[in-house]
Amino acid sequence: MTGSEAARLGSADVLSGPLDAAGLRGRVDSADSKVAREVKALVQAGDLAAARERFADLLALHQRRACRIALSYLNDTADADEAVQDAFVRVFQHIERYREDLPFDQWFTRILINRCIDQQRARARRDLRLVPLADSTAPPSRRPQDSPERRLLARQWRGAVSAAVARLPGRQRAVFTLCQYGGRTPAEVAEVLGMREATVRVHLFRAVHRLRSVLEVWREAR
Amino acid sequence: MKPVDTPHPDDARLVVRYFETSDRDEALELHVVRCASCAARASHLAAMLDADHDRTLGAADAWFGAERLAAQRRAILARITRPAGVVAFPGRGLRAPVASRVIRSRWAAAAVLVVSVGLGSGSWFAGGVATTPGPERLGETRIQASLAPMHEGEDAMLLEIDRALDRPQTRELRALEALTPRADEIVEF
Repeated sequence: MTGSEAARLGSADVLSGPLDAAGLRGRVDSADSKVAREVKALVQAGDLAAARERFADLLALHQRRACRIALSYLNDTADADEAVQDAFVRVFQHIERYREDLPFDQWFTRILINRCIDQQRARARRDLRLVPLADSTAPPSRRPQDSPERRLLARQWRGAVSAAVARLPGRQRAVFTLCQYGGRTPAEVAEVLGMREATVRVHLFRAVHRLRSVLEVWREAR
Repeated sequence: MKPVDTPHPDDARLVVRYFETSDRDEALELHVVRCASCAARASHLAAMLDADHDRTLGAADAWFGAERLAAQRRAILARITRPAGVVAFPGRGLRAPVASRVIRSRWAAAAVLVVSVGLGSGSWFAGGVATTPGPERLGETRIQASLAPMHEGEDAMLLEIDRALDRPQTRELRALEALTPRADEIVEF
């Protein structure tokens, strides 16, 4: 496997930086990692029907979190849906390359982030040619207990935060999205993105610093 | 409560502290507990990020509700069940392995065509220049060339070219090629 291929697939071969052995062991033994190992074994045995059936369990374990990350990163429901689908399909197709001594969620999250980045680039190319009529693909705020005015306000500020996140440089955006919306610690993000933890901390602080003004207003509008 | 004996943490440390759910720096934790101003800063930061977290994930979960997640699951399982080689128009998603073979065969057919045309014209010109034929001798040369027995290899090559030109993909390319403007057709106004 080449370096670029490994990066594209999110192979753990390209990871760098120290890993916390105890934490890593725990996540390698986690439910999703066990299911991933089973899927891999079934694919290697040639039992694709059983592998697909087991893969559905893996899908259920990660789907919601994947949608949250993709939507937060892309701020477009169709793009997020496509990125999540592509990531899962890619995982199944390359499950034989999954390294069993590393947590599955780490491998999967890297593939997902790469798909999000690809999707964002594709959208940027598309946006060069198209003029959007309205912001119809951003997710609406749907809390039934809110008044229409409050929902409108929430939607406006949600748009402001999303736009501010979208303006972050690539790595800052990935780090912030994974920490803030993916529920990852800086150490875990360092593993996923193959960066040093100190670098992740710097990106994280810079991202929050840039977003601070819009987040402040967002907090007050709550 | 003991007085604070460590320096006040900067904003960067407080931001990272917010995202660290375990293995927090004990000295920093002690400082935040003992220092009212730092506790207020940390609390303010947490409230700001919590608000964004809850609202953003609330919107995401509302959009990707149970029905949408089920539809997405079905779509993913259908995609991994579908045999390789079926590509959804306009080629989004996976590139079929057959595509590269088709491209290679097209290139091979084009190369064969160019080489054969080059060889044919080269031999024709070589014969013409050497004998400097008049109009009647030129006619003879053409007749001789057309009646000359072809080698089996040439025959096979020409058959291969015919087959390549007759493939559906080649016909599609010809239609596209007919639409492509030539340099001498472009007139500058």
